[in-house]
Parts: sequence; C-alpha cells; structure tokens
Amino acid sequence: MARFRSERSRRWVPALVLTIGFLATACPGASTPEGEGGGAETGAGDTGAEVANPGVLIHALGGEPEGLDPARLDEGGRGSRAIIQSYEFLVDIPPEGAALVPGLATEVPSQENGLVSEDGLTYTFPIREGVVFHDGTELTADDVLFSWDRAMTMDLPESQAFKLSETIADMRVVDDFTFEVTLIEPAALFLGTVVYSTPAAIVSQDAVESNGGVVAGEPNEFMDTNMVGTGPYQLVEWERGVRLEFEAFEDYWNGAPPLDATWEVVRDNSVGVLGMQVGDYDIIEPAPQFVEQLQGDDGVCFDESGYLLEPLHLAFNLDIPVDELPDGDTVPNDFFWDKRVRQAFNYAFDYEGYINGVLAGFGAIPTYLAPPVLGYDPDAPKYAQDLAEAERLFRETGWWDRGFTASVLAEQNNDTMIGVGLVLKDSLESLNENFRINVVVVPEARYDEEHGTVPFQYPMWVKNAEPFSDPDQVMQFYYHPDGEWGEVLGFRNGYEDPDEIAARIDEAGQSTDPAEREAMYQEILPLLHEDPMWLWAADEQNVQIFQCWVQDFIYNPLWVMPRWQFYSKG
Amino acid sequence: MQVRDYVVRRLLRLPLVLFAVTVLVFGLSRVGGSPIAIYLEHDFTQEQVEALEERYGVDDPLPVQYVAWLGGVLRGDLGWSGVSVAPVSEVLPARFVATMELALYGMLFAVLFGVSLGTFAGARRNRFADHATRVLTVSGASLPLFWFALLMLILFYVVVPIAPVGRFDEDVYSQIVHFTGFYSLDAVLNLNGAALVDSWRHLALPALVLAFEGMAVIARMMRSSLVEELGEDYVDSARAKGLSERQVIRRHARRNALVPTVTVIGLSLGVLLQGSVVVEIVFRWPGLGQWATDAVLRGDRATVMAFVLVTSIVFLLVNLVVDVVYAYLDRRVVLGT
Repeated sequence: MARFRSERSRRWVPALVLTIGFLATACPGASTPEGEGGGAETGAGDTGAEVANPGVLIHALGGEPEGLDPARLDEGGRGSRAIIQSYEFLVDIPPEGAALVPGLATEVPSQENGLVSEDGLTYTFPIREGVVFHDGTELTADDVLFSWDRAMTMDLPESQAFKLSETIADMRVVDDFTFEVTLIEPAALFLGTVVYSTPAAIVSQDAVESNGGVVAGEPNEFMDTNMVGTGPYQLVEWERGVRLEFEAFEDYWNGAPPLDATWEVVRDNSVGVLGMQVGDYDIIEPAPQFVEQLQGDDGVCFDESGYLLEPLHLAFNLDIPVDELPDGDTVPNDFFWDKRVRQAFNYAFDYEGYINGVLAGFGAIPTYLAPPVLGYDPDAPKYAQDLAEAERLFRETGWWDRGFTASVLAEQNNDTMIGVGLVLKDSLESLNENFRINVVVVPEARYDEEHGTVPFQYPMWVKNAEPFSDPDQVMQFYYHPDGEWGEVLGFRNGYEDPDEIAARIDEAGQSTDPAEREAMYQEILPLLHEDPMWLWAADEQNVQIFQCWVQDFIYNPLWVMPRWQFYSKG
Repeated sequence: MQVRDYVVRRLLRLPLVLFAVTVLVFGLSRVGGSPIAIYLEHDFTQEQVEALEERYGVDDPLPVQYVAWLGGVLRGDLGWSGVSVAPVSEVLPARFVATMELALYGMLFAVLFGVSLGTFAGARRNRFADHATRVLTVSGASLPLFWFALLMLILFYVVVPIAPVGRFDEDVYSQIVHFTGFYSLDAVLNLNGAALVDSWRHLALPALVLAFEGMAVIARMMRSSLVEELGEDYVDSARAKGLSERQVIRRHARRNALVPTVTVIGLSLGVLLQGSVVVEIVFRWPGLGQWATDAVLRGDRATVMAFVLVTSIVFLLVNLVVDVVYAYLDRRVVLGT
C-alpha cells in the first residue's frame, strides 16, 4: 500500500507542475495595468514611490459611454463625460466657480460687451481663429452652424436637441469667424444650459459629411463610435467593455495636455479600490461605502470639496392610480394632496442615519439647489428628522390611527437609492406600527420603464436628480406645477397656490440679471420647503480619489467628471 | 450504430433544433417589457417611442419581426448592441472567444483537479485524505463565487502581486497575429513565448477561480462513483488475479467511474459559463458573461438574443461531444437509440 501511495502521489506531479508553471508565469511586477505594458514600479502606501505609468492618466470608471455623438446623448450619462474631454462648446466652465468663460468663442456674449442685443434676443459669438479639429480641418462659424443645425435636424428622441430647438428662432453665419443666434424669447439660461450643453458641442462638418451625413430622425453610426471635435483629447481606440484610450491632441489650440489618458472600465467598486491600492489607477470614483477602505493609505489623496449635482430624492405621487398600485398598497389617490402628509414624511426621515450609514458620511442634507448652482443658499430652510412633529402631522391628518401601506420603487444594484427607501421604511415603521413601506427593487431596464409610465403606478419612487447646473432647469423640472414631473406627478393637486409657484419660477427663469435671479430663487426656496413635493434625502458628496502623484488636481462639480487636461503626474 | 454515423445524424438534425432555438429565443425576448427598453427614457412622448420602435423595427407584427431577425442572423447581422454601441456581430466574436478561452482553461483545471482529487479521495475512503478532500470540495461547492474571486484578487493582485487583471498586456498582445482570437493559442501559432506567458499570466487566476466550483462537483461525483465501483464484483476479481491496487483502479474502476462523471463534466460547462459572469466582472475579463449581464439589466434585447443563441449552440455541441465520449467510455451505451 505504501508503494501505491507513493505512485499515486507522483500522479499529482503533472497537475502541480502545470499549475505552478501557470502561476509562475504571473511573475512579480505583473500588477502594472494591463494595456500599459511594464510601467514603473509602484508602491501602495509609499508616498515616495515612483510614478506608475508616467505619461498617461488612468481613470477608472464604473462603465463605458452609452454613445459618443453629442447629437444623440442624454445629459449626465457616461457619454457626456467623454464629450467634455474631446469636444468643446462656444463657452466653457472654468476649474473654479460657475461664471462662464470663453471656449471656442473668444468672448462670452453679454449686453456689457455688446454681443447680446438690448432686447436680449440676439447673441453674437466671435469664433476663435486657428482652432483645428482632430481630423485636421479648421474650425469656422460654418462648423458651429452645422453642429447645432445637425442636432436639431436629427432631433433624436434620446438626445437633448430640444434645448436648441425650443430656444432658437434663427441662426446665421455672419462671416467665417462670427456666428449669430436669435432666440425665440429672452432666456437667462441660454449660455449656461443651451450653449454649454451636450447637443451644442461643436463637431467637424467634414467628418460628419464624409461619414453618413445628417439624416433626420436617424442616428449616425460613425459619430456614435468616434469623436471628431476640437477638444484636448483625441479618442484613439475604444475596446468595448475594457477601456477607451485617448491621446493628447498635439494641435490643441490651448496647448496639448501633458498626459495621454485612459478610461478604464471597472464595473466593480472593490476592484477599483484594489487597483488604486496597487497603483494601477490614478483616479477612481467609488460608491461612498468604499471610500473608507482607502482612507489612511499613504499615497492616496482625496477631493471631497464638491457635491454631485444629483441630490438623492424620493418622489411623492399626487396622481396615484389606485387600481394599478402594487398588491397590498392601501393609500388613496389623494394621499399626498395634503401638504401635512408630505411634511410628515419629510420630518420622519432619518437624514443623519442615511448620510452616516448608507453614504458613509459623505453627504449633507440638501437645500434644494446644490452648490455652486446660482441661488444656492446654505441657510435655506431644510428638513431634519423630528419624529414628534411627524407624529403631530400624521395625527392631524388622521393617518396616525388609520395607518397605511405604500410602496417605493427603487433600482437594483444601486445601494444609495435603495438605501433611501429602506431608511424611509425604517423611519416610518418604527414611528407607528400601522405604517408599512414596501421597497420594490427592480432591474435597471424595468425601473426605467416603470419610472416612465404615465400614470406612475407606485405611490413613491427613489432616484438621483438630473445634474442640472442652472436653477431654472431644476425649478422647471422638479417644482413647476406644469413642468416635467409636475405634470406626471400631479403637483397641481397638491400645491396650495400652484399658479404663484409657476409664476415665480417662470419669472426667475426669464430674468437676465444674475443677482436678481439669485434673489428670486432665494425667495422661492422657503415656499418649496413649506409645500414640499419631494423628500430630498441627501446631497451626495462627490469624492474623487486620486494618487497623490497626480499634480494640479482640481475639480468643478459642474463638469460632471474630472477634466484630464488640467492634470499632470510627477 | 457507428460513432461516425451517429455524429453525422446528430449534425444533420442540428439545423432543426437550432430553428426551434431561434423561435424560442425570439419569443422569449418579446415576453415582458419593451424590446427597446434600453433606449427609452421616462420623458419620451408616445410619438418619440413610436419613432424609436420604427427605427428598430419592433413596430411590425411579430412574425415579420422574426423573419427579419432570422434573415439578419443568417446574413451575420445580429442587430445593434446598445450596451456596446456597436453591431452585435462586431462585438460578439471577441467576447465569445474571450469567454470560451477562460471557460476551456477553467474546464481543464476543473477536470484535471476534479478527477484527480475524486480518484485520490475515493481510493482512500474514510481516511484523512478523504476527509481533507471533502473539506476542499465542499468549500468549492459552497463558497460564494463573488467573495472567493475577490479574496483571490486581494491575495494575488494586492498582497502578493503576481496576477494582473484583464485579459492581456496591450504591448505584448499587439505583437502577434490573431488567427483564432484565442490568445494562448495564437501565441503558440506565432511561436511567441512572451505572448504565451502573458496569456497564461492573465488566465491563471480567473481560470482557477472559475474552476473551483466545477472541480468540487466533479471531484465529489468521481469519488462516489469510484467508491461504488471499488465494491463491485469485477474489482474483486481483478484483485484476485493479483493486480496491484493501482492497476485495479487505473485499468478497471476509474474508467467505469468516469461514465457518470463525464455527464457531470458536460453539465459543468453550464456552471462555468454561469460563473464566468462573476469572474469576468471581478477580473475585468471582456467576455460574454459581463456583456450579457449588462444587456439583461439594461434591456438590450439584440445583445441578449445573440448571447442566448450562441450559448444554445455551444450547449448543443457540448452535449453531442458528451454523448460520444459517454459511448466511448461505456461500450454498453448504444448510440442513436
């Protein structure tokens, strides 16, 4: 038997040799990023470590763009994150502050510099000379006209082209380097939200016309998968599901950026954190729960100065289709019509618990307009948990004794959103045993479909807000009784004076004086607080984590993502 | 029936089965939710939704849509992948090959270790080696793959940094001609040692992690089959003839114990493909699993249909191979009955 064992042992040898050989090939040093070749040695936790992958900035992101054509993309998606690296607008947002600066136009039009007519309808843009596209052609006013006209002609449902078409009455090329736009009506937000918006990015006319041209209602496959702008980065390769490689554009009008850049697709937060620890990635943006895993690591720096312009919120449905509600829900159609019920929900929610628990401390209770959006007021009224007040309001409305069951729709794989629902459930159910909140978690595709169903078939949903940079967008979208959500969710059923809210929002949106607008919004905020249409759970801090060898790191939340052109390594 | 005749007959029957698969795949893709869910936003008007339905050809009657889709499939046009922003037919081959390469290495490890461990344990029933093997295999079958994969990544990517994530090092990968898309095979065909090493470096950890569960199942099956076979009369006869225990196992018991194990091996391909979803995400492996998961979650029907179609074909072929191997191992099996 001893002989048998010895022979049997030898039969393990091939398997062991194969395995050891296999693993041995994974020699030390293999932890340099795949795709970047060797690279310098890195030392996690070693502030004096040699810079890994000099010459290229490696940014790990949780997914890849949903397309690359400015005329097809939604704002706030990953596609628009790529857009700001390779395309440009006539005006730009600087690294700090919200005041616009010249982009492909040499001046930001205003009445002071004479580039906006006295009636506020005509804007003249002097176009920068000597700018070339990635395909080598020179930028002229014709390209600007073509780009905007293209987006409006294509008019794709998934695009934001309506921003242009609903604002612009006429456009014309005055000369090779002068472009003029006439608006349908004066619009204070024209520069900030139309000129600086994804569909207004300037594309190469030659590139489009040589690759499918412009067809109304049809996407352009070439532009969906390629980028031909004037921006600091040229897209070199898009390896689906893995990475997008960008090269610093040598002929960039404002000087080529110091680094090439790679957008690494890293879907799992844990993997992003590990990659940061071994020095494979230069910048990551993990979910808040993962941030603490890197806190205290030498060589890893943090930027926590900004907030995502996407407050996490819970919607109240003021037009509940009782017959369509999930099984078990007992709330009537007019459940949220009484503002005291909405206030009670706002008072019951455990904000601190949500922020410290789900967001790991990286958040703040929202004040309706996030910094640095115009009108942001840190002293604006905001809700804090007050269970006694919540109980008082529920008793006043009779729901304290009657009790209710209501569902909240949330999206799968999104812990921050599901967390809002769960904290609400915990807050209300511990307040009164007759209250029951069911958090219905569904996959992304189903969530999108149900979220878009009119009438909306749940009493509440949880989401993060659209990343708006101008208060009028926020107000029209979220508060106006006849706005995007106002109509769907039936805000006119709930506002005590919907016409006054509507008039105030419209008036502030039409003013062209920023100071006046700011004052107007600050007057509106208390009204929205008193008559809440949403439960704003938190402003999520935008935590950028980067290797300390990344120099000159600066980030403006209005950009949506870090702009690589400003960074260097050393 | 001769094996050759059987294989030919099965292959001739394949188009019919595939046709049924296409009907099933298409039918299921139209159950529940909009077929263009990935492109829909909450604020679309009815006109906008209809425009999109027309663009993607989902406003026609279902039979017309099916014929159009099947015609596309036969022409190699599988539609547009919303999650990849590219034609499915452009993305699919690279994804398929990446997953198959990972799955084949995973299968190789699973079979190699599973059969060896099972034999090792079965021959030492109720001894320490058997118990130790049981601990290992039960762990393999019960540890959550996601957790195990992350644990391995922490160990071999961070603590002892010997295993990179991803599929290849671009500098090495770009030096060879990609005849088949299977990186390690192409490295051999190019006679490029550096590329072969690079491919193994990247494959080793994900393939071993992927193999762990399959290995456990195969080992358990092999052990119990072997234990059963070792109690059979013919084994006693072999021993009575004076054969050593090793010869008894190698020449007689193991071959018979392999018969049920082969069935499990065939089925374990399903386990491997299922596991590849997790492994591909954790190890950033650009394969079918990761792609299909994205597509399912985001409602990208063209991608999902292509994925299901391709995996169905793979399973049909694997089943054919399993049946043939089964017959080879057990002469009592009559093919074609």
